[in-house]
Amino acid sequence: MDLVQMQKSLQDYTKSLFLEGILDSQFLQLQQLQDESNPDFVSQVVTLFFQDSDRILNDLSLSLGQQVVDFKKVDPHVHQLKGSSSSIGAQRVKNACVVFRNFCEQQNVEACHRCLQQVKQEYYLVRNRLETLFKLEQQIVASGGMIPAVELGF
Amino acid sequence: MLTTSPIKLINGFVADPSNNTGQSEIVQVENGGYVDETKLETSSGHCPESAHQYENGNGRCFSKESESCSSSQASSEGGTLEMESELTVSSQREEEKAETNLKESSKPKILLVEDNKINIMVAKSMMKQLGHTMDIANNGVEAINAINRSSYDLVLMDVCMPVLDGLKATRLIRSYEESGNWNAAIEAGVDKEILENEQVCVRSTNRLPIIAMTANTLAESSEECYANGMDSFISKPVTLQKLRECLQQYLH
Repeated sequence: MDLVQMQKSLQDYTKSLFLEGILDSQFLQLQQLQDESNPDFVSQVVTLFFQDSDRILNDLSLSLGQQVVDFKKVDPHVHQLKGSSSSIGAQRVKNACVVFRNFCEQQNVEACHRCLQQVKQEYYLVRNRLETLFKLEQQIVASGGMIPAVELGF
Repeated sequence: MLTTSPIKLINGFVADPSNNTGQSEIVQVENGGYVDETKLETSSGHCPESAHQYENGNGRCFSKESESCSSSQASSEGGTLEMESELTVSSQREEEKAETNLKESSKPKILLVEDNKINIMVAKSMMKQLGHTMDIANNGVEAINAINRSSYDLVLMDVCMPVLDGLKATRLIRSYEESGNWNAAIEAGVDKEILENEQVCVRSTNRLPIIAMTANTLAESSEECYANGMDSFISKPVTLQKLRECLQQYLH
């Protein structure tokens, strides 16, 4: 595949993430912050998000797996994940967290278990897609090209 | 000039040339976009990163009431509240004092109070693009200690944080502004020794602008923010535009 084709692929792939609602306009905010003085900003923030989220999901699994679930421990984790997913534009993860928090408030253990599964699913999805996105970008840069600007009609 | 990624124009967004913080110059480049020149100069030290990181302290949780959204993560921890970061900030103390003395001519001092690392990274980067650096505090107690040490021009206060949330911290700061002392904070459990020993700057008579960063849930509604002494709010997620408008309104 030549450079132009790779760049087109990247653009199409990125657009699809927005169309599927996996990413929202906040992700564009991150891209705006990337420039010559900060060339890896997006991947740095996203990597931090992955690390933080892995930890939170692990803690959530532990907390919800207790005999007696302490919602005072569960809710702050979900709150944090909601905040960070919102900050990077991981829309579906954020939305799943909103639902999760409602059930935390109701102290509904069954529903919270389901919510955790949903959040995990959405998280793995966005992680997978973003990792692919970064790989496409790396291929372009390795071929001596530039990452094309994303132009969307929001 | 630009050898890596081109300027991204998204949704017609351009850096508004009239929207000058006084520190940045907007130049037009060939592709019809605008670039903030300070960003190009950043790596050469034009905008030095002078953010002071205050380490998270252990402490009692103040969120006994159910209304508060302060996390109860610290509820099982006892002991007094104190900053564990004395060693890390001590070398920066001289710089801070000098900065306080030069307050009239130096750039605005902004404090970001936020516990989420990702949010901090994004906000710092946005502020950098707007030509500013920020000090960071990770909870309400660290915020109070920071405000006690230095004179800030603007505080961006996250509402939900562990140890001491933004609403309570703001109430305590306003009490300090009105009374001239930190008695209310000490009563609430903020470390007495630190507050009494560390006051290095003369308290400004101007009201400190405190802007809430809120997720806009019931516990974090704008009404709650105003009722607790905040001047305004930014709803999350924080964007460049929201920060720019905030700076325009509250920094002179």
